[in-house]
Amino acid sequence: MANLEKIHGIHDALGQEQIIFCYAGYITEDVLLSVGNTIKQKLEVVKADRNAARAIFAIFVEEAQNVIRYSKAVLGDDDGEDTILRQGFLAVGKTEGRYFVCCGNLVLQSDVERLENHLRHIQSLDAADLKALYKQTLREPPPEGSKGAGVGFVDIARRAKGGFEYLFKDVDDDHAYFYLSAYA
Amino acid sequence: MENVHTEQTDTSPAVDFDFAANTFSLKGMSFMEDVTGFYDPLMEIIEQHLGGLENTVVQFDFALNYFNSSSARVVLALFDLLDATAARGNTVDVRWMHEGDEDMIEQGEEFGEDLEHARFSIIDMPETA
Repeated sequence: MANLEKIHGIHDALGQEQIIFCYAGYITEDVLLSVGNTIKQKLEVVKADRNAARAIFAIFVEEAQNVIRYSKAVLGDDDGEDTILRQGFLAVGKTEGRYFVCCGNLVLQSDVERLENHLRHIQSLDAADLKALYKQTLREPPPEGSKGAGVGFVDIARRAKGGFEYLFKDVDDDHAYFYLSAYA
Repeated sequence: MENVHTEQTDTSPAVDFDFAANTFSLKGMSFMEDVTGFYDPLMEIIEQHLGGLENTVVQFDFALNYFNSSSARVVLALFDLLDATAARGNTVDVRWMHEGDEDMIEQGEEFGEDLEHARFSIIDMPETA
């Protein structure tokens, strides 16, 4: 029973934090699609503002695809080929009347500085500068090692009308956990 | 060139490319896992086709409900391609259809403002869902 008590504790804590959805584990495009659609339905049922609901869905897609593409917690051979599963964390919740979409995944320590500089730069930009960076990045060839457009964080920043925050937590000498939370 | 017609899925748009009529459209959602795998072959044939046109009327309808940032790269590349086609003397109409969602209208405006030669219009479509 001790195990169920622990699980109840985790479940209860999520509820108290007003987390309406939480996923930890291997994230695939199937998970993204079904959870994305469920979140959309839930926001329709509670009659959330339509533009906020669209922003939440869009941020969720960008964050989930980030985990699917870049998480370093990997099952399988991470050589860019073949099927592999990537592990991460996704949550959607509400705090102080605002919805937030949060993701977490393992990154390499050697990528932390670059990521942090990129995110800090994006945070410093106003709407006009973000728009300029968005278009400029879309017209450039994708960055080395990118499987998308390399513009996901800019897109998230533009949709997160309440801003975003991030956190890096050391895991070991080579890895850190990276969290990002965007407020719709 | 053989016309392209694919049905939309949960994550990919309906594609209609009619090379004889020079009417093209993308309709639906676009956030598929493999964006380049989906769009690269399409980009290749439309680039080739538009590159050979002279004094022709071309229409491209974008009727997307949502597209992710990887798809945005393709949309912007198509805008640039259509503008280059218009710059060579073709008459190009780019139509951005939306269902009233602010983010989609804004995206259309942002991409449309870079068009120097193609004609651009934003069109409010009644919801089909």
